Amino acid sequence: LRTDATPPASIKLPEHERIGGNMPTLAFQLRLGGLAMSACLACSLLVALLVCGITTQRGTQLAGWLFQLLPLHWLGWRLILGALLPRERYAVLQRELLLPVHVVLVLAVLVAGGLFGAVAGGVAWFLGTAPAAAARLGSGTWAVLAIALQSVALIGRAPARLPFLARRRILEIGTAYLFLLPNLCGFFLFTFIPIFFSLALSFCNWNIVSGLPGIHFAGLANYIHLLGFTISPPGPGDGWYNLWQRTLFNDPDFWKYLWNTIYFMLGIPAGIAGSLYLAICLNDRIPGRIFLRTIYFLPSMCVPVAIFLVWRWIYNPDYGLLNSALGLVGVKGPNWLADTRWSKPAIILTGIWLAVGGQNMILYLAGLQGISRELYEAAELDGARPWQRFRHITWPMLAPTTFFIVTMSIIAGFQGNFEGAYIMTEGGPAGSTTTISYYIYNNGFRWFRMGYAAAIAWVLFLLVFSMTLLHYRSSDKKVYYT
Amino acid sequence: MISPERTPRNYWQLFRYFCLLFGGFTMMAPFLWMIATSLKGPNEAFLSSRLIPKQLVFSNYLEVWRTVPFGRFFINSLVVTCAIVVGQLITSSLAAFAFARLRFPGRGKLFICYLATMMVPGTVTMIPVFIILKFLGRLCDYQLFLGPINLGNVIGLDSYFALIVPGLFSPFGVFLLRQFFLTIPTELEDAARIDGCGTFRIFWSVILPLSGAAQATLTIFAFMGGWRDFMWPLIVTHSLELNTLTLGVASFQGLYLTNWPYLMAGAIMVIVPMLIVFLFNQRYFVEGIKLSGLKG
Repeated sequence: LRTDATPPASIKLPEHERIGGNMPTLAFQLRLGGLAMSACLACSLLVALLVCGITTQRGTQLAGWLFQLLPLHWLGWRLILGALLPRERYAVLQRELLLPVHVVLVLAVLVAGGLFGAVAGGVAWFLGTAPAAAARLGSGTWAVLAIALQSVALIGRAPARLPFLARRRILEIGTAYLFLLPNLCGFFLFTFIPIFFSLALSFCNWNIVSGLPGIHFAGLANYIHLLGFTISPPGPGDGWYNLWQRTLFNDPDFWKYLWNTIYFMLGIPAGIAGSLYLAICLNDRIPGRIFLRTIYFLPSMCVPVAIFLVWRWIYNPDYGLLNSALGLVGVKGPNWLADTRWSKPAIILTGIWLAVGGQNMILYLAGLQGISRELYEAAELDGARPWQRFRHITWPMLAPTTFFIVTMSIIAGFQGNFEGAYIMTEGGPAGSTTTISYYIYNNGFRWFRMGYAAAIAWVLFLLVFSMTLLHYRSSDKKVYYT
Repeated sequence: MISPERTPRNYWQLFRYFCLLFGGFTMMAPFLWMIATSLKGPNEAFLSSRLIPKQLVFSNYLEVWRTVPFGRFFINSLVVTCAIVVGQLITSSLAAFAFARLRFPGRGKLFICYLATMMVPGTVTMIPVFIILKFLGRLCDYQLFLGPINLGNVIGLDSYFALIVPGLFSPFGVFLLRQFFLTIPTELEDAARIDGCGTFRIFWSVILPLSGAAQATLTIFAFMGGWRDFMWPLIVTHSLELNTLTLGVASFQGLYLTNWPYLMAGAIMVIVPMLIVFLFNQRYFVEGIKLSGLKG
């Protein structure tokens, strides 16, 4: 049974079901009607605009106009097309085209126009225009946009294509977009637009405290400051070997924090290896394995902020658990979080503790349970040692899981450790635990350098993207064993 | 079967088992330490680092509850998280159904857009969303939309709106559910259509009841995301009444920087609700993680 709405070409439809096809003049008439309709709409909107401009103080009429114009539009279609077309054709057209088009197209166009108008008016107001003028601007933008969009839709391609679409098809498209609408709105407002907004912002200087007038186009200045460096010319006795000492970064902090971020990511392989080992151990039928799994899983289920707080106490140099335990063995533990040498390892340790029995272990367990017993039995018959069985069965069979875990860890690692740094060390000592995400937070929301923060975020994004791509490229030949 | 390596293998397994037990103890030690500290008197925490407190001071919890509005934080977290979970379930399943089952122009391109934005780190969109919220709030100050009704802080920054709404639309959720919906056989849908079901009825009575596992996964991810989120509430709220639990702990830390028994009591009160939810729904958590890993 076919679920799509367009009937196969071989089926002959009765005359009243068919549109287009044997009515060669219809497209032309529609085009004409659309033109006339748009002119009508333009006139009515101009009037509306004038009225709006005179009377609106706060733009409250904006929403009213939106709805008043729909019946007007409907009436215009009836008048024009009813006059232009023979009665039967008009009846078909009315049923097949006008109603669905009104529901889907016109509403969408008007809403889109209204949204953009409201945004334009709002931006104008934010820039310091008086509310009344801003409202006028908003409704004006809306009117112009609505006219433009409708003209494009009606005079342009729509009439040529729409007659060939059955009503059911149009309704189906309308339904699909209705289903999408809630998510799509949010997606555009909170994901799609912000991405481009932040790209644009990264080319500007903006201290958000100064409001919208404080935005200044800065060109590449943010990126140059972020990534740029100068290498002083070699003096006597200098060479390639001290290139590093002669390099002067425009923003040394960024490079330091990038290094911190990468340093923290050194914990990832250890964590993944631990997860794999745990999964292998806990996959065996040992007493209490369910209990043990739960215990290992527990930390990753807790609220990380609270966990970091606990670890801050554990790392307390005088009374913390770790140094007390070390004291029992006779080792004087360092001041973990206040020592630049130990702060990074301490945070990595916390991270491993937090993640080793978490999501990765569960994924590995699921992967292990997917490996068939026969492979191991065959290997055992062939006399394979446990290590060989791991090396030649388990590891290759888990390759897709490992691939997934490594990809996710890279993505998370580059963005990571905001909470740990915020709670445990506040980025210190001497910036030794500040990561890129913490630097972005500081720039954007502590020092209010929005443009610079956006530039860092974009550099981070490109970094994550290229690393993921690299990983993907390097392992796409090795992954599939099914 | 008697094989020569049986005994050493058992020793090895025994050793491994003890390693595991020791590891399990390491996993639990911070929790035990946390509980022990939270029951110590204010001085005892700094006098000795012994694990078992000399006398149990349960009043720490009461004291914490009295000084910091934990109840309020808890309710905030609960409201925000529940709203996010419900919202994500609704918007994501509707959109996923459209992507999986309905034909409309632009479906492929739109879906690629969704997939592509999943790559973008949250830090990239964080700043613009902050600005958009700030800007929405100021629009409402001037009653541009609703005439004399002043929406004040209902919409802008520092409101439930700011905490909840940006979290309602998750491309990940759409992706997850779409992948799952694709596995549901079309025959069921066709049968329903023959029986006279409309599109929404099919979604509601056929697809939704069959996708319980995926919905549970999304619920868990949305719940964990909402409950544990720290950065976003930190950015968009600044009044104490709107702090979520995670923020509460952080601000609490500033309040009692040296009084570790109080801090630990607070941390326990934050962790326990999450743990209870986890322990009672452990199976779903595990299944959810597996599902997301396999689909992703």
